[in-house]
Amino acid sequence: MPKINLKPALMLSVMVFAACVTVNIYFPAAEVRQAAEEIAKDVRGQGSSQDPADTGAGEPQSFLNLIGTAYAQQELAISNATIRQIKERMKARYAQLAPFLKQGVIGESAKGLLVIRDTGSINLKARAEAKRQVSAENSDRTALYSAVSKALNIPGSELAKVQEIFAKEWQKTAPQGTWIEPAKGKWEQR
Amino acid sequence: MAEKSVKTTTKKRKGIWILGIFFLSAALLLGSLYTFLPLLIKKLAPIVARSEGYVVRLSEVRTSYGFITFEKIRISHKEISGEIQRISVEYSLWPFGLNKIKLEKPDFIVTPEASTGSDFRLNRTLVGLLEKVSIVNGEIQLKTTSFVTSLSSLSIDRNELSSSVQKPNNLSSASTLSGLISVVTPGIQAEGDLKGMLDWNSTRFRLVSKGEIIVNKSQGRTAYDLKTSGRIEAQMDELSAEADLAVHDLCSIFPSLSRKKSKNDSTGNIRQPCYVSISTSIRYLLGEGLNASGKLALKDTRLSSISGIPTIQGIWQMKASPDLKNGFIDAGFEPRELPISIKLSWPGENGNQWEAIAGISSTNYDFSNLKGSLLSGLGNIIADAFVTPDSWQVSTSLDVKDLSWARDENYAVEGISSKIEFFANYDGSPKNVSWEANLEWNEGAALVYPWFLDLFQLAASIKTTGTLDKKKLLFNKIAVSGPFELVATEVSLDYGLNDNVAKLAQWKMPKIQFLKANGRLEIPYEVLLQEPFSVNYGFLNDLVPRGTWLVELEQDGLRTGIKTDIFFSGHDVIQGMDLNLAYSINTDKCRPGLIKWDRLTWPPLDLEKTKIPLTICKNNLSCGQVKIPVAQGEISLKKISWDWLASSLSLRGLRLIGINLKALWPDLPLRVDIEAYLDQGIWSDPRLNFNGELLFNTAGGKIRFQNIWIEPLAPMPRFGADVVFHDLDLAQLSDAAHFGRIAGKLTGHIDNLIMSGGQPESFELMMENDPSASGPKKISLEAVEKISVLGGGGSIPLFGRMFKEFPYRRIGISCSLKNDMFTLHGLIKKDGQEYLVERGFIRGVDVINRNPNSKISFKDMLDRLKRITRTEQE
Repeated sequence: MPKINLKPALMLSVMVFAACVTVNIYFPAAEVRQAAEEIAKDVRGQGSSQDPADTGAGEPQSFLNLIGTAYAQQELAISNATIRQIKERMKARYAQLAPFLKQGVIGESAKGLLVIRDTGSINLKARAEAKRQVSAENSDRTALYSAVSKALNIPGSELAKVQEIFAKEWQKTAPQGTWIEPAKGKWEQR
Repeated sequence: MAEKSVKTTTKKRKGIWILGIFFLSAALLLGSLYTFLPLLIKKLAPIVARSEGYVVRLSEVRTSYGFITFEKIRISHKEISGEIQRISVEYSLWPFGLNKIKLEKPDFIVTPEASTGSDFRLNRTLVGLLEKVSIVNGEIQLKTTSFVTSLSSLSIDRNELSSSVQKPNNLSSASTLSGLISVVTPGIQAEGDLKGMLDWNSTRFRLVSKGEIIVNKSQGRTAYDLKTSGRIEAQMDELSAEADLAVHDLCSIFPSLSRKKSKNDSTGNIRQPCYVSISTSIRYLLGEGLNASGKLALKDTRLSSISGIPTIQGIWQMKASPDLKNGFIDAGFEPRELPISIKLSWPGENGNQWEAIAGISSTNYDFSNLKGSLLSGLGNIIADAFVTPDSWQVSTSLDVKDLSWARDENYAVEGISSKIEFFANYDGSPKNVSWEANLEWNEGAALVYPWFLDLFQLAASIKTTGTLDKKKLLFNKIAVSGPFELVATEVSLDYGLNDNVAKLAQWKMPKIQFLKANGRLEIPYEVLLQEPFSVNYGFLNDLVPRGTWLVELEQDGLRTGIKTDIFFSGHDVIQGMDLNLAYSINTDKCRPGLIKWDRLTWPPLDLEKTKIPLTICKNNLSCGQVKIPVAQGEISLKKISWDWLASSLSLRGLRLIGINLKALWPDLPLRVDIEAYLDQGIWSDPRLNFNGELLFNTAGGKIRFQNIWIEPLAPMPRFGADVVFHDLDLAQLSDAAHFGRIAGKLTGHIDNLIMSGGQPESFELMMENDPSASGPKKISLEAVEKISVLGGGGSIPLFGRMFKEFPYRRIGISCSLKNDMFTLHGLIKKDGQEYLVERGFIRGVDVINRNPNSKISFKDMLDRLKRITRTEQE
């Protein structure tokens, strides 16, 4: 019986199989960074000034207005109704958060979330308020990161990257006195 | 010469004979002495002993070189009597000395007598300390009323000690002792070896013992080390000693002292070892009694975990009568600068009678001394405990000012002013302990995240009385007075105690005879709901209830009632609301409830006198068979159910029948009647999916919402559906929308419509005129212009403006929204172009999408809509 050399056939099969495997790696870092920059600046009032006429207030009533009234905000690289509204809520909350950031009570973590840093300088009522604001803000930020990821077709496994990019923008736009965590575990005060 | 020689010889022989006779006599004498020595000793010893007051009888004495053996020696004295089976004495003749004395089976009884003679003072000294000394079969037993000490296998050797041993203790001419010691009390016993030295000249001694302490009941064991040294006065009437006792793991024999348990993977719970050491200086003077004082240290016990101090140290002193029948021990500790005194005394003739008094007393005690820096503030602390074998009383009073404490960021108190009193009494009856506890506060703040409590606003007092036994904690009465009033009587908590008294086993639900609590609604609403949750739910800031609440105990359950008006942004939106809910306790029985109101005014809704039945089962609140007349129609519901543990919501049989939206919003330009048939709402976290459809009848046609879902708890509440519409009269719609005028019928669909927080997030819309519809197909100039604006611009030629309306053949538009980007297309494809509006057969106007690939941002689309509305306004 003639001896069949299977080795070349096997190698060929492996090569063919390997050639069929396609790995797509794409993380839209530039888009996320742009969105993070725009959102952070807008929330913290560092974006382009608004046209007061765009507030939508006092518009005549019309059937078309059922869609909505007040969309007076900066146009973002990536957005949808959820992102827009979360951003508006965060923008409204920033007035309450800013004093705590400036006092060093709360800090901007490397994960893009707020953390309580030092409540020694405030009384218990203020501490409760700071914690509630942080909790609400973190809840919105988590929803925001998820919404941005979804809008950019970023899988859930890459959510940490989105958070890191946002973290840098939050830290960049934080007021003086804020504790920031540029690298994991290393805190410094702006 | 010869005669002289004979004489000399004769003299020599005589001398030899004399010498011989001398030696022979000496030999005979020594032999006789050796032979008769035992007999001699046997006869002489009793005579010598008698002169010292002893009666001694020897059965037999044997001697050999270097050894004398005494058999069956009976000794009696006025305070001592007994028998020794054998005494073996080992000695050396040159140099003469006793090497070893061995007593075999000594059996003695020492009985104290009233005599104070000085002839046997050591014996009386011992007897003064101990009630009875007996030596039985070589084992020496020292008995008191509360313990028996036995010394056995005793060996006493006289040794020349090496200088290294002598120097530190200044011992010379010492005997060494070794043997075994056991101390037995009713509760515990100790067994160990005993080694020691006694210097006969200086009467200094040193004893060392190592062994085990065993608890009789549990057989718990731990090691101990005892070192003692001291001196017995030459006159034998004073004993002074220093002693150090170390018990390596006290917790293994007294588990209740254990600080905590930790898990061992293989064997389950293991105890943390705790350590005790006692140093003592003892002085015993005949006639004066026993004086002892020293230091006590407890390490890693339960006290350590309470006080936060690894080692609790204190000093103690003891005074007792010579017979120890009465005396006291005083001990003082000052952990964290908190003075604690304990006095144990046994004053009676009966050794079982004792009493202990423990006290803590401190004014303006600084609590920052306790448990690190977590606690601060000042307080007056008074605590007393009086304990006897049959009874005890405890009384404590704690008055704190400006107390602050923080466990972490979630739990803290600040500036608390409070008074706590506790009294307890156990009078020896087997049934129970009676107690009373009072607590009041009137200043400060507490954080139990997310709740912040202003204790000035919530000043209150709680008074309780009750009893406690091994199976039940009974509150005879609980009375709370403050932001609400509460009275409860006969509240009993059944529990079981395992072997560790301090550890309570499984608690059961309390049995309550009577409970009633009531108060105003405003404060609990503000503190428990509005303040903590308005950050996430802003409407709570606008919502204010004004009413009362009540909780009452009923058979097998609790009933709660709320009577209130509800205001929203200052408007009385619900008048005369009455909410009654009932909960079962200890059973799974469902209980009925009811919510009703006199009037609900929530524009555009205005509902009068409504009743909605509710049912509460274990973790579930449901309401069913509701019919509410609304806007000329009716909303009916078979059942809606909420499980608060599973956070799930389900809904059955929701019907909206003939609801006229124009009745709610009179300004609505079109009549819209709503009907809905939503048979089932199924919760799939975070979404509630509905089976059925929502139908809008308007403009002569129908708009159907299908595949409806809501996400009510999402960060932005979301709503989704697929929409189909048909037969909508374009004339009515365009009039209502001020969009010019278009005649015809509209049909189409919206797929994947998602609304987030009331704004469109995404959709795919397709709409066109119904080609099969009869009637004219005309579009006004204004409508054409507005379609052009929506499409991005374009102008109508001047001649076209001569006509106010145009016939059209077809209108077809698709529009989609995703990520805030609109795309707009014409559905009519002709000559490679997209037509939104295709003109009529002879004349008309075409609206062509010249840039079919363009995208319109959400903001641009809004601008275009604004331009349309401005145009219309102008």
